[in-house]
Amino acid sequence: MREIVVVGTPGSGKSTFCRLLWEERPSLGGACAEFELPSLPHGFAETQKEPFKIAVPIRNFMLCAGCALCQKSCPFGAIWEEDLWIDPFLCEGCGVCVKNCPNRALQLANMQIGEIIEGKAGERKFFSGKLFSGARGAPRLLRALRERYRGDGDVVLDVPARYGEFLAAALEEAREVVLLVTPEEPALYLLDRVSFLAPKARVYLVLNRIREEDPLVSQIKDKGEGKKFELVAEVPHHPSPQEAEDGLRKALSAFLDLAKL
Amino acid sequence: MRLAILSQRGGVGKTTIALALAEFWGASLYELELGFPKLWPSEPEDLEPVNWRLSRFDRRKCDLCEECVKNCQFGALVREGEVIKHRGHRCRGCGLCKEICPRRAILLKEVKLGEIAKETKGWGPIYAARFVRGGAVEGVLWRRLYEKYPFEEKTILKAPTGLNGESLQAVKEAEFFVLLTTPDASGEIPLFAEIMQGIGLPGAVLLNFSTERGEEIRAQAESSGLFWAGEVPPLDDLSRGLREAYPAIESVFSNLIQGGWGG
Repeated sequence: MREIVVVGTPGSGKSTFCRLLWEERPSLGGACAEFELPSLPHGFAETQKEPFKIAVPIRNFMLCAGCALCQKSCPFGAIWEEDLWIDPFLCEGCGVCVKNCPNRALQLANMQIGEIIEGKAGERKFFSGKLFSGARGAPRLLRALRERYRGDGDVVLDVPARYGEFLAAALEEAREVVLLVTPEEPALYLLDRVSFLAPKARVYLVLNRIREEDPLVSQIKDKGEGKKFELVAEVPHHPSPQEAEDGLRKALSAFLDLAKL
Repeated sequence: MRLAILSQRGGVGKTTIALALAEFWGASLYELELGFPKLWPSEPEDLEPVNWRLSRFDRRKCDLCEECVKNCQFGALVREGEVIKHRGHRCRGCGLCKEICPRRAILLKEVKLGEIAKETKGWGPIYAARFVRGGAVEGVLWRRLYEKYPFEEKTILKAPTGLNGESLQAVKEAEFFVLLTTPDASGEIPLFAEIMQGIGLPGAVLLNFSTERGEEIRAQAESSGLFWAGEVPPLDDLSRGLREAYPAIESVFSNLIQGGWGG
């Protein structure tokens, strides 16, 4: 099974690249990690939907003696001293408080925070996910999504511009990564980050929206070369969307040759 | 007032708007996008490493009881054949495995997770944090940043991209939330309105790269109970800053700040 993970800087053409790749190679399945406002591609019908749950500590006040051992033991400072309220924005769901409660007043409960959606058009599959509004757990949903489609044929994963733990989850054990960047200073740091998050991956580098004589272009290329990233294409900046897409199309055919896809 | 700037997608001009607003308002600015901090200082002041403990596994002491595998909530420990494999990139350093291991085969070790720094601009400071390695326990870095640099009277929190719980976690101390959106977005305003209803604090919408659809989007925002801050047209040359390229931004900003305070 091959999995092509497509990541990059904002506005670097990630989604367009995924769409073109997908049009070009009908044998590939697709997946998108846009969990806040998910959509299936045109012509796809939802065939399966399964709940996505994570473990959350729940306090049973009938058993709680207020000893505050949970509060003292929480490694993330997520339990308030005053009323032992568990702050959902700080709680990681590790279960240390549950283990430390002498009265068994705390339990980990599986709570649904989203769903994994599978769509089909003929034999072709598309995997997507939805996170309930404001829910925390996007990186874990991404891991679950990847586990869901693994073993279901070749797939291209479109990863939106989220760079914290989410990017780590997207690149975990990735073997083939397409990295699209526009020439801007922070892109250099993203190159570093991709190389340490996906140390075993073959990384294909696409430079998009290049303006003439931009000194950053050679810096990015040098850095990419130093990390043994394979430079696929340098796409010039085009003001018109159609020309920009044609530019990416050329990058795509270079990628398909290089990746023997 | 602590104001958060959020966006659902990248590339909508959050950095440009946040910088111009901080300058206009004379506020301190927190860059909270840890994995790709565009406002990481070119010459960092007070650079400080942020350490966090992660578990380390000693295979010689392990008798494969699998207690740790069963209890780790993050899937950081898995059995593969005759060994327990520790996937460090999933570990969040809670220490549960160390506590429950009957053979004491697990230790916690301090590692450098990231770093924080500051940069002083003419109008005030920028505070930023970033990861330096694979592990990505975001809350630890945000917490350290807020501990070291307590909020000042006027504060702007530039949230990581996204309208999910992780982005909200970064800006949980904000009192006023501004969604930066663009005319081609669909579904962002209802989602943001729903989130703001849950939080119970005021929210505003600022439209970037506006088109003739501006009025329509304004109506959508206002009917969702959100404050309309205004709109910024697409601008060709931002090399000298947003305020130079679009002087009318000042009235948008003062509207935003007054409206946010009142509303």
